[in-house]
Amino acid sequence: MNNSKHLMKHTLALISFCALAATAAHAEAGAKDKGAKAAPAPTTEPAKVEIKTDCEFVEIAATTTQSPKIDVELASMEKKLKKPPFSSWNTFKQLTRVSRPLVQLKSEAVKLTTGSVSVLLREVTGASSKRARLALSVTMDDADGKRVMDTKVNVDAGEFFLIGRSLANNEGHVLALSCKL
Amino acid sequence: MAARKTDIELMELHDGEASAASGAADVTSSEGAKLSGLQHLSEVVRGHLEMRAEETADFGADMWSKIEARLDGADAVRGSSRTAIVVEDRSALAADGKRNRDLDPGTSASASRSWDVASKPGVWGWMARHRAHFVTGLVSAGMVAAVALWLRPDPIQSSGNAPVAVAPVGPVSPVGPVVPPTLNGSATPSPMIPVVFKTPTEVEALDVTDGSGTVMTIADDDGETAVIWISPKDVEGL
Repeated sequence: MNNSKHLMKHTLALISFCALAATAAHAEAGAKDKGAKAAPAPTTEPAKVEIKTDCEFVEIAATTTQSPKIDVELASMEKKLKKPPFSSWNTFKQLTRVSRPLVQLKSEAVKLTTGSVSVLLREVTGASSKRARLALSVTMDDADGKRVMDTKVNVDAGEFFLIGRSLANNEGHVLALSCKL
Repeated sequence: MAARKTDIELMELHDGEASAASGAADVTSSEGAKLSGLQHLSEVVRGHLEMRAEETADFGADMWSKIEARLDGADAVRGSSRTAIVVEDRSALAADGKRNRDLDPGTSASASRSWDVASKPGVWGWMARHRAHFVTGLVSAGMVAAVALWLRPDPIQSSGNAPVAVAPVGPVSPVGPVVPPTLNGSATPSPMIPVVFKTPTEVEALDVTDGSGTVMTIADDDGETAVIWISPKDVEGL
């Protein structure tokens, strides 16, 4: 008699467990169905936002003269031009200052006084933050159209970097490049 | 004159094993007294055995009731082990003077302790009596919790949305013009400049044609500036 009562209590406990498990499974299935109904149809590809930057190219000619001089337009980088390796020269003259919009994955070629430069914006990271990071590919050709260098640079938006090279007759050629969103 | 009968012959005569014709007729008075004594002794032994038999019958009835009570009690208090039932074989006890022992003395002791707790009144006794149900409930609850955890949806993956900031509840004050911070309450804005941490420029790759390339940085008050310096091979005057 007691055994039958005992078995009945255990059976009730197991039935309640099964009911709870079934309820949990049912709730889970319901949540999945609801999520499937509420979720929008999967798009094939997220809409691409075209990222545009504005790049400034500053071409500088470096020479050594009796009267050192740095153009007024180059005042923002005067301190840097007085440090090595640019301290080999004492006169800096701005040859070209060009500002070009740059679209992602579209190469932009800029004709310089001495040669040309081509820039490709490969990637922009942290575009929504204060300091976006730009991945650029830069190629530079000399006046004869011969490739001088090819580089890939990651730089903060708004920061400029310098590309310099020595020319014949103790002259220098400097390109300052800066891009901002 | 008949020969005197031995005690064996008298016992056989008393038990009816000897033929009455051979001995019952010529029994002397002393032999008759012995036969009478044997009869009394037989009655005494028979009566004693009947009394022991009655006692044994009472013991058997009491033993089964005790066994039944212990079975019910063990059902109430045991987990999975059944108490070994002790049945004493009194004939064997009488034969060799040894007692049969419990089949599992340790189990019997623990079950008897549980029975002691379960037999007590109060909360502990009630819990001890129903501990099997508690164990079943706990195991079931644990399994349900495991199933629920296993089936729980990932909040990030299921919604597919990043956490959303919730606007504070309460009256919203109108937004006025942005006033630049001032220093110590003065009218002029403070010269504080928000600090933005810069990440150094990184040159991933550099390929120089007919020359060598060097990457360096120039540091000044404005920070560090990356410089890519190209040294051609055929430069004259350097």
